[in-house]
Amino acid sequence: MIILVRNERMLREEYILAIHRVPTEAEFLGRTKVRPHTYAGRLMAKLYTRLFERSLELKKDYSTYYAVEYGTFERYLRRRHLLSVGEAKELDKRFPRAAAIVRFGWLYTFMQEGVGADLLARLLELEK
Amino acid sequence: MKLRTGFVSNSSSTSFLIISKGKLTKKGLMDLMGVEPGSILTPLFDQLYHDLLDNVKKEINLGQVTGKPNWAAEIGIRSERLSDRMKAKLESMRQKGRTAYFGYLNSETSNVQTFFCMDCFEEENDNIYLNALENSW
Repeated sequence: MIILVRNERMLREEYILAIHRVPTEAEFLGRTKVRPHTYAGRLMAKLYTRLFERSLELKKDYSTYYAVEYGTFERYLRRRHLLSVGEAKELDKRFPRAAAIVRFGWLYTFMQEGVGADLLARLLELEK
Repeated sequence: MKLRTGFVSNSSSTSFLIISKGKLTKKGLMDLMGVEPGSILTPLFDQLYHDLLDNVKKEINLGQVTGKPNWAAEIGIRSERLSDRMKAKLESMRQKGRTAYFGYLNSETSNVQTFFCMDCFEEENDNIYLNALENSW
């Protein structure tokens, strides 16, 4: 599952991804079919870093810091991330099964306008 | 009247110099950039290939350049825009009979060109040299 979020404060598109299994960097790069240490290889390595090292993992963030304050993951998504009722419910359903629920932004311009969602859906094992 | 409340950015262009063994081909560019057949990034670099070719301002068969060339004049740019390193590169590639392409990409055309206009890079293998370091973002 992928949700596209417009971050009005930062004037940018952000994604929330419910991921079934977090791939290793080697697995991820293997799926992209780019050679390491080339322009395309470096580009995809940066994308992996952006996804799994410089993003906010919402399951962990909620469980570590906000479970007491908000009580439920759905309420955390509604109040802290300002998601719609429908989006929060859908993500909440995936909370038990998902290995990670990641929020990240500042994508490359070539991934804007829906292209990024398609690309990420092909690269990652997402929760349906 | 419309009021824009976000920041405003100027457009950008990135000059490129490509020196190729023979004509620049899509397969050659894909190999240089590290894109394998069936890669998820094939559409991106396919678009880059076409954008590069569409924006070539000067194509020179370096092997046919004689005497002591003024490389900036050959390419059609001001002399201060061509570094000594690039002149040496053109000179060495002249001896190999390579083909040079000079042009520039524009950030106001597509998301793909915008992306490459925001980057500065230099790539080289045995067949192609691509310099896109001059970036005025």
